[in-house]
Amino acid sequence: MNRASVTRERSAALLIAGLLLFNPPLLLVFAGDSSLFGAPLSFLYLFAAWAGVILLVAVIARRSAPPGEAEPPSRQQAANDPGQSGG
Amino acid sequence: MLQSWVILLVSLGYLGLLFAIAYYGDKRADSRRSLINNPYIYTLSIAVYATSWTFYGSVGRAASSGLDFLPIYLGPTLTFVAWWFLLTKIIRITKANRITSIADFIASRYGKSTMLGGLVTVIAVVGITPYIALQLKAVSTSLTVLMQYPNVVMPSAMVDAPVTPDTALMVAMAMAVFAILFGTRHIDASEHHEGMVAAIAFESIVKLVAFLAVGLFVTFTLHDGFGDLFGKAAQDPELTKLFTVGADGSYGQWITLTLLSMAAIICLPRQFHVAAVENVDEGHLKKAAWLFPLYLLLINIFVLPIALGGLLYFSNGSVDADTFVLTLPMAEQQEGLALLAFIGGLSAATGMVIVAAIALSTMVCNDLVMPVLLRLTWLRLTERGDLTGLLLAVRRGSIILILLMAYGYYHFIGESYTLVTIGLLSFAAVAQFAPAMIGGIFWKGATAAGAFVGLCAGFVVWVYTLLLPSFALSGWLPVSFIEQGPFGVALLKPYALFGLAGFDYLSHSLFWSMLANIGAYVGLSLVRRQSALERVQATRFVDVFRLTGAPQESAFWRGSATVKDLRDLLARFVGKRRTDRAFSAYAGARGLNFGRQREADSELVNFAERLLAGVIGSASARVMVGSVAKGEVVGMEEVLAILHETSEVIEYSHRVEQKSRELEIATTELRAANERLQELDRLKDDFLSTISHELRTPLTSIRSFSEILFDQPALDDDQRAEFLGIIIRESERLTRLIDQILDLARMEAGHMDWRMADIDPRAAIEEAVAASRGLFAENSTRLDIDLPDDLPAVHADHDRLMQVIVNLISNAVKFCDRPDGRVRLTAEARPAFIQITVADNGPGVPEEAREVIFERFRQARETLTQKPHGTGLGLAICRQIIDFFGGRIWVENDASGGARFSFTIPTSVRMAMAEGAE
Repeated sequence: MNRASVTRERSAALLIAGLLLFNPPLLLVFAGDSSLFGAPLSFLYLFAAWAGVILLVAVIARRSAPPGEAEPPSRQQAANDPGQSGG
Repeated sequence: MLQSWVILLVSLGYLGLLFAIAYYGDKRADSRRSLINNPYIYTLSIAVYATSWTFYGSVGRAASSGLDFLPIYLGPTLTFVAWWFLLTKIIRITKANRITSIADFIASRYGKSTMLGGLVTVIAVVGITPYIALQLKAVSTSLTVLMQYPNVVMPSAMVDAPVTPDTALMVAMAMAVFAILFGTRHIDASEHHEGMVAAIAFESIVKLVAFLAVGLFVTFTLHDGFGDLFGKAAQDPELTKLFTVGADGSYGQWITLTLLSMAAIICLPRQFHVAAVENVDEGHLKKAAWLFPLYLLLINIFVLPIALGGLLYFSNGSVDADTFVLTLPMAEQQEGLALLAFIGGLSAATGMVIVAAIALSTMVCNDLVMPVLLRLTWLRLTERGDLTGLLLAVRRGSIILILLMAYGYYHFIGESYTLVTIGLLSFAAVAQFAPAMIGGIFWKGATAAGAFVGLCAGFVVWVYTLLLPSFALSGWLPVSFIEQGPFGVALLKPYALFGLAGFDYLSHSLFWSMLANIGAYVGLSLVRRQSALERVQATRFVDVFRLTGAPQESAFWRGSATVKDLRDLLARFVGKRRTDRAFSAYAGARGLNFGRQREADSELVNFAERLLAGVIGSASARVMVGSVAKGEVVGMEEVLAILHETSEVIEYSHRVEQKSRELEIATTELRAANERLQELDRLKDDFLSTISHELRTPLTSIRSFSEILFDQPALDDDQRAEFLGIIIRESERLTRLIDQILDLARMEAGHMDWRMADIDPRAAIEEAVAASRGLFAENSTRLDIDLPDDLPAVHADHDRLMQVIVNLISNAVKFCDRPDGRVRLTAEARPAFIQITVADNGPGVPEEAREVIFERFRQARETLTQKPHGTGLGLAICRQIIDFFGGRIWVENDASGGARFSFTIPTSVRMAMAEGAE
């Protein structure tokens, strides 16, 4: 696995996770009247999840490959360079 | 005491400060010490996303439906999560293609379609107008409210408010001037406005600081922190509802808002402008990817607390929640904070209006007005060298027009709406760009037709399900349009199209417009084929990372393909002669004259690509033609330099190919020659074996009779004489045979000495008959001769002609009926030749043997045991001679069954001419 595809996969996974976290039905789990530290639970949940996603974006960005490697190698290139996928 | 003049002075002072920053930013850019070349300024410029909508509107939204304001900021966060494979790609494409706006982006992707660019511009202008109106409304409202300090009175409640001057119109004009000063001071080829970006970034800081200040004031001064504020609110069951998601039970809208804002962060013209067009270094995105969402998070933390604080403070509902940010400090007599809040709101509004106006005016100018102007040939614009003055005028005019339109929308419609409602209308409009844009950078098969029809369909549905109803609700259309449907057709109710009810109006509109948009986009793309230009552009967009290794700017130039460029490119790969031939054939077939036509049309580009594909493969051809076909690409020199190596390799392989082809041909020739030699060898063997057989026969009899004479000296004289006679005859036969073989060999080899002359055939015939007299006497055969007196001269060899006749006569004598043998010789003159016939009354020649008897050693023998009557070479020699004379020899049977040998000889050319002259 090269760095580019790692970055791509992590970004995609975080995107899906974010879509799930920020939307119903997962959102409804925290929709009750209960509160934590005096603040409504869904308010806390949304901002906490939001902050978490931002933190993960920062972590992924720090370790990301340069965008020049963003595209997967073409089939031809892959055939010429079998080591790339194994490295 | 906050006087009106103080407010105005501070406002103008603030705008002046912005202009100073912009001026300084431009100066720094000119001296190549860019002020904005860092990820923080870049992040802050993207934060132009947070407008009055965020500053005032979110609080209003939160006050009515709780956390529903949040999806608008969660969506962009999600889009920025995908920065690495989405935003970077958009920026790279924008840089590589020198794209100046989102209209340019979409038009360029689909084969530089002018129609598409114009359509995107129209949709953007129509869609963004409400959004700008929103800012005007926010600024004019906040200004009006602040002017009343220390009283907190809503504009709608000001019964005695002065009707003039119209604050919103003043604000609109002020902003137009501001946008013109910022964005259209001069024309920049790269559409970079560094000063403007610096000012926007500054505004983002101001609005964040202002909002946080108000938030802290409300939470920690008015109340004892979050816990206290939420605790107080929790005691009111009405306010508790705001704590939860989907307070009004519409989770569907939450998802819709998330999706809309995900699209908006890249599809809004101003977001595209700051994020992609104004981007200095795509590496900045790495930090902006998390800094921008962090900015959004910070500016949203206090939205709900301010909303709750405002609702608790103004519990009688007299104050519009959209103004809480301003009215709470006012009510608490916090002059400085109120002024800061106002300036923050002004920042949010001006930032958005400036960037949006500049982005839209660029689009209107480049994608709508100029294409039309340049096509009006009577304006002769193309002949004018410097168009920058015209460009600036068009842009300034369109900025004023856009702001007037926004003012119009605000004045006639916007009064009755909350800020967020107006903004969402715009979001839904620009979301129509998302399929064409996202699809365009990941899907090569997407076509211009699909994008165009998809955008049209989506826009029409948007107009019908969102814009027209907003007119209706404002009284510009009858309300029955919404409630009963147009003309009372219930199926066409704009909020429940085709009976689809149960959704909120926004989700409803998004569903139908996206169904139409994406449906047409995908459907038509699958059905229609792309033009070469579209294919070229699609590859350049989708494979942008592969085509541009590292971001390089200087290597690109503007301009479109000329016939000469294409010619040179082709000549490089196809060869000059072939190129010239192909081009003249192309021009001939279409009645074009390349001597006069400089610009290559897309058909010619297509043609060139196909021609090139045959040489370097279709993929490379596409890239090569793409490199010269569309403007803004690598220069010809560089392309040729890069590919010089390739062309050498190709030339070398061409040579190898040619050599191997030559070798192949030589081999084939050799094989054929070899086969012919073998055939000849076989023929020679046949000939030799036949010859030796024929020679052996007389030799055998000579030898056996000689042996008899030698062994038996006692033979009587008669017998001895008879045997000696046989030996002599056989020897003669042998001599004759050898003579004939030599003759035939000489003739076949072409070594015969021919004495060709114009001769009298009659003399030859008579001589031959005389020579054969003995033969007739010997065999008691009668010869009849029938010669006309006036036989024309023929061009022939006298002796050889005689030989033929003697041969035929002796043949006839041999085969004629005994004892009453008859031979008849006739000659007759025909036009251009004479025909001589020798007939006998023998058994004739059977049909199947009539051709073969003219071959060597082939006789019409009945059986093999029969003694041969001759050498078997006579007729073969006759044919050789007659062929040489240019005549024909053949045999047929006459009515009585005897054989008739005939041959023809052409008459002398000189004779024929003499006759013709007479």
